[in-house]
Amino acid sequence: MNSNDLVKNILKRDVDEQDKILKSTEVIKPCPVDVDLGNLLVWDPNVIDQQAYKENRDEYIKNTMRDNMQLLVNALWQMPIERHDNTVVAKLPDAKTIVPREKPVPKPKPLTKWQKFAQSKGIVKKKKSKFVWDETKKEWGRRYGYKKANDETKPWLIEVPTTADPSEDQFAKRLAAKKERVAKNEFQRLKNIAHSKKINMRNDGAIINKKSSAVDVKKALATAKYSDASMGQFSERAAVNEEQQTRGFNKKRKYESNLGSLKSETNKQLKIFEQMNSSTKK
Amino acid sequence: MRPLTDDETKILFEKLSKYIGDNIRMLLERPDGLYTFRLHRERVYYCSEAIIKYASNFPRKELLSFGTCFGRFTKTRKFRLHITALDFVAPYAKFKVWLKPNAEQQFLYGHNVVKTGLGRITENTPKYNGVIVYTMNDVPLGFGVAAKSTIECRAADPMALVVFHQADVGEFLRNEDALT
Repeated sequence: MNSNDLVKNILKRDVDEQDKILKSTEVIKPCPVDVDLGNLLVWDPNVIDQQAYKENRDEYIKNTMRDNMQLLVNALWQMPIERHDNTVVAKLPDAKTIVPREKPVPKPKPLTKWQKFAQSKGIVKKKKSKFVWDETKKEWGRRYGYKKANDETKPWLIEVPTTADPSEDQFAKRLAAKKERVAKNEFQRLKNIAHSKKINMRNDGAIINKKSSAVDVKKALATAKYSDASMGQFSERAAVNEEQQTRGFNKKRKYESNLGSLKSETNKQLKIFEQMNSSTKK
Repeated sequence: MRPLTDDETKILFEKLSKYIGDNIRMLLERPDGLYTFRLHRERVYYCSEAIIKYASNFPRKELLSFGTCFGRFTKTRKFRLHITALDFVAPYAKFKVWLKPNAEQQFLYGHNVVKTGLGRITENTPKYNGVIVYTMNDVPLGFGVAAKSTIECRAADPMALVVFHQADVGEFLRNEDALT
């Protein structure tokens, strides 16, 4: 063997080995694979070569994966390509494969009471501009909220209506009316939430539990006793037992002064002690 | 910090009277000044007028303890006597139990007292009444509840429980971080 042949042989072997290491970018498959570039997904419908698979499973899977990956990359390079700051960016088409959604389709929001009413009456919401002209301030202001235009609680002077009581504070009246409206709106909002959650609710907003506990009943009784024109002052006296049970439900906690007279405090405690003693001795 | 309400006072006195009976009066009417109970973070403190005045200068959040902690109200509004109250309760004790030296350690580790450990017991101790536990040389060790009356004790077998453990001075070590 001359030296020329030897060199050729070595070169050939080198090329073979290189081929083995860097497989060509061309992959031939009996059945063309399905490439979904939008999802960067390849679907390989080819039949698995059972024999090769059984001989060396890992190797087989690895090779197949490599080939398919190659096909995907090939397809990627077919796409229109742009360069941004030395980075190659391909524009992907829309996804073909339909992927099932993770979460269920959101349910439509339950309508509020007003929305229901508006629907039944055919009332359509009209778009209003966010800003309105304030005639007194001579500038544009929000229709609602912070620094709103035509704020009726803000004027420095209010004319007292001829029919109104002259000693009445008109400013306070307006402010109170505003507060009342806000509170009413909040109450309606909560009612809507309760309704949408299907919470059993009384007309005054109290939640009705299916099982009311003894304490609830007592509370209700105490409230009922208290809820007359005299705030319970002249309501009919309940039975002694009832009175005892509902005692304290309407009262606010009140504690003695911390730095009051200690003498009287100890006297009070002694009195309690004596009462206790007498009751036990009986 | 605040004074006890009437209900709380009653609960406290009911518990204390199990141990010292009428001697609660001695705690309230002291010749050396005005002393009373104060509630702070569900704990009842027994303290002098001066200490109350000092302690009231501190915000509630910062105040940890003042005077002597007698015990605490549980969430169900029962009163639990703490071992810190021993100094004030022991001198007025109505019913006492003396332990034999070899039963002392058992009690100080938080165990109940069996009859073999019982040295002496006050005559006429009713069943389930509060008792103060002493060593044989009259050092108070803690509180307990008589599991048996004095008469029943005599007839009981040696391993029968005589006193239920409630609090003992061992808690100063065992329960150091909870005591105030």
